[in-house]
Amino acid sequence: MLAINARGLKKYYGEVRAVDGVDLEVEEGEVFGILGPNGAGKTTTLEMLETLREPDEGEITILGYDTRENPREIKELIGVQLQTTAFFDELTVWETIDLFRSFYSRALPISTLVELAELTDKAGARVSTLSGGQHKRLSIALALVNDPRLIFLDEPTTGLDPQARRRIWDVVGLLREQGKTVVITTHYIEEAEELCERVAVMDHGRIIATGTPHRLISEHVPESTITFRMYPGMDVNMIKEIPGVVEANSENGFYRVITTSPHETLMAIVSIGRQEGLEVEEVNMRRASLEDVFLKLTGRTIRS
Amino acid sequence: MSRFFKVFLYNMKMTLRQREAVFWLILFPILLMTILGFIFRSTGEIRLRVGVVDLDGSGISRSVVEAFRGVEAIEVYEGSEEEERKALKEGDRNGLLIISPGFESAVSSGKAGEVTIIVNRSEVTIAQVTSSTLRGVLEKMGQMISGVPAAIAVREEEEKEVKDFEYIDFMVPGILAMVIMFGGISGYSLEIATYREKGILRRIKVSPVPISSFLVGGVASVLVFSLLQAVVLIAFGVLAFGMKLRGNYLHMAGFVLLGSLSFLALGFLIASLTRNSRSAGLAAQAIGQPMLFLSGIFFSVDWVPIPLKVIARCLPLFYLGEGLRGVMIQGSTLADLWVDLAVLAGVGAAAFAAAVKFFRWE
Repeated sequence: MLAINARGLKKYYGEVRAVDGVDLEVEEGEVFGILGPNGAGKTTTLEMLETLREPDEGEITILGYDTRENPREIKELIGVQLQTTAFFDELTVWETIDLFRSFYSRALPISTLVELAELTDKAGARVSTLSGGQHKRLSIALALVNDPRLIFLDEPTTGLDPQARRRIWDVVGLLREQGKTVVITTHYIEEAEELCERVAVMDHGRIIATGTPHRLISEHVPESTITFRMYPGMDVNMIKEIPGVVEANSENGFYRVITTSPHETLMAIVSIGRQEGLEVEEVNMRRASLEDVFLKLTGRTIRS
Repeated sequence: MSRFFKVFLYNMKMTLRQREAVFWLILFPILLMTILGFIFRSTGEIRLRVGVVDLDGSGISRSVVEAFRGVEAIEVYEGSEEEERKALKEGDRNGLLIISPGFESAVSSGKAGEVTIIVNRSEVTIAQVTSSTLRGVLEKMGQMISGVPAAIAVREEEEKEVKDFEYIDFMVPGILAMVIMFGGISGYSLEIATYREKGILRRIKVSPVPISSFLVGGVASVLVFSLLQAVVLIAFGVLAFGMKLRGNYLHMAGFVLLGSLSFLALGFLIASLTRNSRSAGLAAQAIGQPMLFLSGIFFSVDWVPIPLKVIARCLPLFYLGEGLRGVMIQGSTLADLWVDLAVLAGVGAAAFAAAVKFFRWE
């Protein structure tokens, strides 16, 4: 069964087309990412899926229920972490979870949730004393109180340092192992590549590409980039003649080569170097990333 | 039911854990009561400025004037009727005593000599003290002159019924009304505005719990808290200042709860109409403060000019104060206070309907 089936979603705010015709299918058990810059319409899309906002146009089915007809049933089955995550400052972590558990007809034990969110040693602490990462993990724990089948995480790691981000990723990894369906919005490339089985790339209220990160890259940006230093240097035009090379340039002995067949190209460069008695150093080979996909599709970088 | 209990319980916890809130909700009213109680308990030691006009000019009338001069608590000013009335109007006298012509002949022929008292009503507590002091002195003198207390007939101009209660009796229900009003318009409603601002309301919206059932738990905790405040304030008033409590406790509780609900509804309306918690707080102050001074909460509006009386009667706090005084110190039943009950219920219902209409999640 599809966890999410959305057709033709539109949400306009006056002249602003926040979401402008989005179709989305998410399989149960999938970790699905929505990647895009700020203002692309990710959050608005998520809020429509979560029953928080009604679309101006379009149909949404969540776990077999229509969002307009059966919001209550949907709310029992989904878990939501909103982007702004504030709770009751005067309550402790334990009490906050206890309170939210009472909102659902079925709920996981508090201790399970506290452990899952790695907040065991903070269970008795006031919410106001939590760090940014702990706060986000609490909001994830609260998204899981009803043992949901489908979980929405809206930019779960925005504003966190790399270590705190890694701990959130661990929690998402646990959810994937449990077979939960997870939908994550993010504007971090690494996050989408690390966590998501499939990614929808979103821009200006539309989804411009969907697929596994690997497929998106090989489909849109099959080229890899090779960089290296070479002394005393060779003619760039010789490199350009290597089969597969799309582009090559050099500056002060620093070379940058873009190629569709990276291994063959590198071998060729090294063997040319040997013939000419040149040293090839600081070799770096980088496959394209989703960032390059976004750049290719929109002409802009995600964070610009 | 367990949900209601959880929400209620955690709301109580949150309130009690906010030290500042506990100060404003419990300690501040007690402090205010103490200050006002002490200020006005010492009125007996103030020397009353009394103008005396002797229109009889006889031996007996002179002796009355001299007797007044001998009273420790009274400072006597003598002058013509015109001068003294003017001084009274300007607030330089607490009261005026006019001995009518023919005083001596009336007294000597066994009739009552006539004396007129005019009391400065601008300050209700002092007016009461002035009136009762003058009457007391005159009564004693009458007794001395003829052995009969009725020898001097006192006529009081601008006569208005002086109720037999002390300032503390008047003040405790007033402070309670103040506490209930602020608890309603700026307590929980600010919390709601904050929850909205922080996105907590939206987080609750994506859970299956209806927002109403979340709010009911919070309202219940406010109501319980206002009963608690009432108990503490009344106990303090009775024990520390000898306030005389007359009335049915259930009726008092009923009135406290109704007042609390009514002002909570006003608070919800404020929270619904304002943009954020900051402006909600400012709006609550802007509405609460003038109401506090214009509704006769600390001082009776019986003696203020007509326009102010009219304004007072347009404010819901007036009815809360009047009703609380009714059930607490005049021993009125809820049936006696149907006007106050009706106004509070009406205002509450209207505000609640409007608050629901304008409610926003974000």
